[in-house]
Amino acid sequence: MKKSKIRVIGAIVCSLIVTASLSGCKNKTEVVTETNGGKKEPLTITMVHRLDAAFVLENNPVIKLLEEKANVKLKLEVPPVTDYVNRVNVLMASGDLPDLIHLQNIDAKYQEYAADGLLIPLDDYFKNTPNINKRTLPEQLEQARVEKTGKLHSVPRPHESSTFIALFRKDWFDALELKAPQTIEEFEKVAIAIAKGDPDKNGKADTYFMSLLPGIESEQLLSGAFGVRDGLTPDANGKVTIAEGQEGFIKLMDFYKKLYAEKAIDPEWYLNKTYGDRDKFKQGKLAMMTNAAKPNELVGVTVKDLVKAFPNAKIDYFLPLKDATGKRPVYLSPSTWGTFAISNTAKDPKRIMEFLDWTFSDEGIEVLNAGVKGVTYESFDINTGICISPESMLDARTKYISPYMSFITSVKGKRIMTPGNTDSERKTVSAAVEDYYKNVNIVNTVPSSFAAGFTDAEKKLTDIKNTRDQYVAKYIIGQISKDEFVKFINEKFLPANKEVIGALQKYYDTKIKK
Amino acid sequence: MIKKSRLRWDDISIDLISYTLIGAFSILCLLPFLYVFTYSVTPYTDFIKNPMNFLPRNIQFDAYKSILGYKLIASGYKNTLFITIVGTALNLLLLLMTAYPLSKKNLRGSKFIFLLFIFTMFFNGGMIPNYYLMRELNLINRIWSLILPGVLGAYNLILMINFIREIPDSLEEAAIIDGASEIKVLFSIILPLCIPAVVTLGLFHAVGAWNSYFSAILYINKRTGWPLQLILRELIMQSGLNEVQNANDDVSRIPFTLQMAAIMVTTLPIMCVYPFLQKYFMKGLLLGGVKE
Repeated sequence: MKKSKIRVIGAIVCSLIVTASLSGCKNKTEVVTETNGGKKEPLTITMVHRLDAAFVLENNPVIKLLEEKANVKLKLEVPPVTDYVNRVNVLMASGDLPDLIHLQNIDAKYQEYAADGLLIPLDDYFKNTPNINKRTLPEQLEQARVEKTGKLHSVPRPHESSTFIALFRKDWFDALELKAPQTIEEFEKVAIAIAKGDPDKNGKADTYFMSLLPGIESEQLLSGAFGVRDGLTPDANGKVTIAEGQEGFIKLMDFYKKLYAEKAIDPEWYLNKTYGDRDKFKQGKLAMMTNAAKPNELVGVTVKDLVKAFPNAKIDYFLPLKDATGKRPVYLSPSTWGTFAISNTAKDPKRIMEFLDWTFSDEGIEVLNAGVKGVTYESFDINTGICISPESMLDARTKYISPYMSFITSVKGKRIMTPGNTDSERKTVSAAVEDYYKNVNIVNTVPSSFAAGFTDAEKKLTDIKNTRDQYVAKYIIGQISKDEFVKFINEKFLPANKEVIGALQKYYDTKIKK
Repeated sequence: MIKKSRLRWDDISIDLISYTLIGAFSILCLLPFLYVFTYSVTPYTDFIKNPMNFLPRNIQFDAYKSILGYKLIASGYKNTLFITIVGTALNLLLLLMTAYPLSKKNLRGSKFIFLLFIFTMFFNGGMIPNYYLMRELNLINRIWSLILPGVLGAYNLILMINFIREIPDSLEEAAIIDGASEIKVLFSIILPLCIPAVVTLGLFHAVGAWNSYFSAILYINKRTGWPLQLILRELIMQSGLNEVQNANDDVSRIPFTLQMAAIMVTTLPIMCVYPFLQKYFMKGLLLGGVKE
C-alpha cells in the first residue's frame, strides 16, 4: 500500500517536472518566404528598441507600412523605457545580441561595447548610405567614433539642437507693467518686481519669479550673459576649462544668491527633480519657466495644462540675455538622441545599413514621423515639416507614432516635424524659432565627450559633483559664505577635475586651435 | 457582586498618550493613501490649482475610466494574478514538503541539505548568471521565469522548519500508530496546526509576488507579458522623463491624476486581502517563538 502511494506521488512529481520543462518550449520560428518576382526576400531584423508605453506594437499600421516599404521584417524587443539600460546591459553581457541595437546614450558603456567587439565598425558601410550622409552633420556622426578603435560603430539619431528660451506669464507682467527683460539688469528688476508685486492678486506671497535646477551653470538663458562659456571654447589666452573654472561662474552664483535673498527664486528649488520647475510653472507658482525651454513648448502640454487651469494666463517668451557687448551668446553642439548599432552576430550588416539608410530617406522620414496617410495624417510636406492631422486622427497618432520609434527626428539641428496641431500653433512656433536663430549669437562647438579621455575621467567624478551641487545650493540659500564656496571650488572641485580639463585643453590644442 | 476596579489617573494618562501616539502614527500612515485616493478622483486642472489636498471635492472617475481602458492594465492584471496565485500555491506546497522532512533531526543528510539552502541566503549568482540560467531553461519571455526563481526562499524555510519543530512529536506518533503514512501525517496533522505560519508566509510571498517587477525587466520582452507593477512603473516614471517633453508635443503624457488612479487600481486588490487574513497574521507574528 505504502509502495503504491510512493509510486503515485512519484508519477505526479514527474509529470509536474515534465510540464514545467515543456512550458519553456519555444514556438516555431516564423519563416518568411515572401518573394516578389526577383525582389529580395524581406530581411528579418531583430532589434532591441526603446519605445514609450503609449506606443502600440500589435497591429501597428505604421510598422506594417515600414516593413513593406523597406522590405524587412522587424522583430522588436521592447524593454521598459525606464529600465532600458539594465536590459541592454544584460543582453550585451549575455551574448544574446539582436541584429540592431538602440543605445540610449553615446557614453562610456557604448565605448566599452564597441571596444569589446560587440558592435561592428560601420565606416565602410557609410560609403553607401547617401541619406544618412545627407541628413547627418559630420559632428553628429563623429559622436559615434570609439576612442579605442578609432572607428564609427553606430549611426547616431540626429536630434534638434537645443534652443534656450524662457517662457513667462505675460498676464503677470502686464498686471505689473513689466516688459520682457533683455539684459541682466532688466532681469533682476523684473524678478524683484514679480517677487514683491503679488502678480496673481491673491494676497499671498506664494509666487516667485523662477526656480532653479541642478546644473544651473549650464542654464544658457543667463550663463552666456555672465561670460560662462562651453568647455571647448577658449578664453582670450587660449585656455579652455569647465564652467566652474571660469570667472563668470562665481558671478552667476552671486546673481542667483541675490535673487534668492529677494525672494525671487522659489525657496524649495534644491528639491526639484528634473524639470520640476515645469510643474511649478504649471501650478501658477512661477512667473518664468526656463531650463532649456524650447519654442515648441509655447504650444506644448505644459502651457496647455496651465491655460486649462488658469484660463486668464497668457504665455510669451524671451531670448537668452545680452552680455556686456550686446550679444546673446549660446554654445551649441550638434545634438544626438541615442544611437543605432549593429551587433557582431548580425548576419547581413549591409542590408541592415540599407534599412537604416532608408529610414533617413524622404519616404522613411514620412512613414516614421507622419505615419500612414489616411490613418495618422492627411498631408505632410517634408520641406516645411507641416503635418496635418485632423482631431479624429490624433488618437491614432498617439498610438501608432512615436518619436522614440523614429530613427531621425531632426535634420541639421532643426526639427523635421513643425510642432503644433493647428496652423496658428505652427505659426507661433515657427516665428519663435526664426526669432531665435536671427537674434541669438550661436557659437558652434563640439561635445566635450569628443576629447579623448574626457568620458573616462568624468566617470570618476560623481561624488565630487554631488558635493559641488550641495555647495552651490548652500551658497545660494546663504548657508555658507562666499569664501567657503570659492575655497571649495578652487581647492577641491577644480583639482578633482584636472584630468577632465587636461583632456579638453589637449583636444582644443590639437584639433580646434588654428 | 464583583466590584470593577477604578482606573487610576496614571493609567488614564498612559492610555491617553498611547492612543494619541498610535492614532497620530495611524493617520500618518493613512495620509499618503488618502492623498493618492483624493487625486485619483479629482480633475487634473483642480490638481494643478491645488496640489496639496487631502479631501476630494470635485469628484470624477474619468481617470479610472481611462486607466481601466488601458490595454496593458488588463494583461498586467492577468499576469500578476497568475504569478501571485500560482506562485504562492507552489511556494506553500514546496515550503511544507521541504520543511517537514528537514525538521526531523534523525533524517540522514538533512543538515547538509539545510546548509545548501542557507548558502543561497548569502550567495547569489547575480543578474547575468541568472539570465543565462533562464535562457538555458528556455524561460525567457515565459511567465514561469517570474515564478520559479523565487518559489522557495531560504528564510521562509527556516521559519517553517522551526514552526514545525514546535509541534509535539506525540501527535505524529499517535497518527503513525493509527496507520497514517508520512504524507497523511503532513497534510492531515501538521498542515492544520501550521495554518498561522502557512497563511503568514503565504501572505508575505503573495505581497512580494504582487509587487515584483524587476525580473520582468530582464526576462520578459513582450509588453503583454509584463506584470502590473512594471506597467505602473512605466506609466508613472515615464511622465518624468525629459525626452517626453523635448521630443514631442502631442505625445500622450500621463497626467498626475491618471497616475494616482493607476496606483489605486494596482494596490487595492492586495490590500483587500489583509482583513480576511488578519487573525492568522497575528498568530503568525510569533513564528518561531517558544511554545511551551
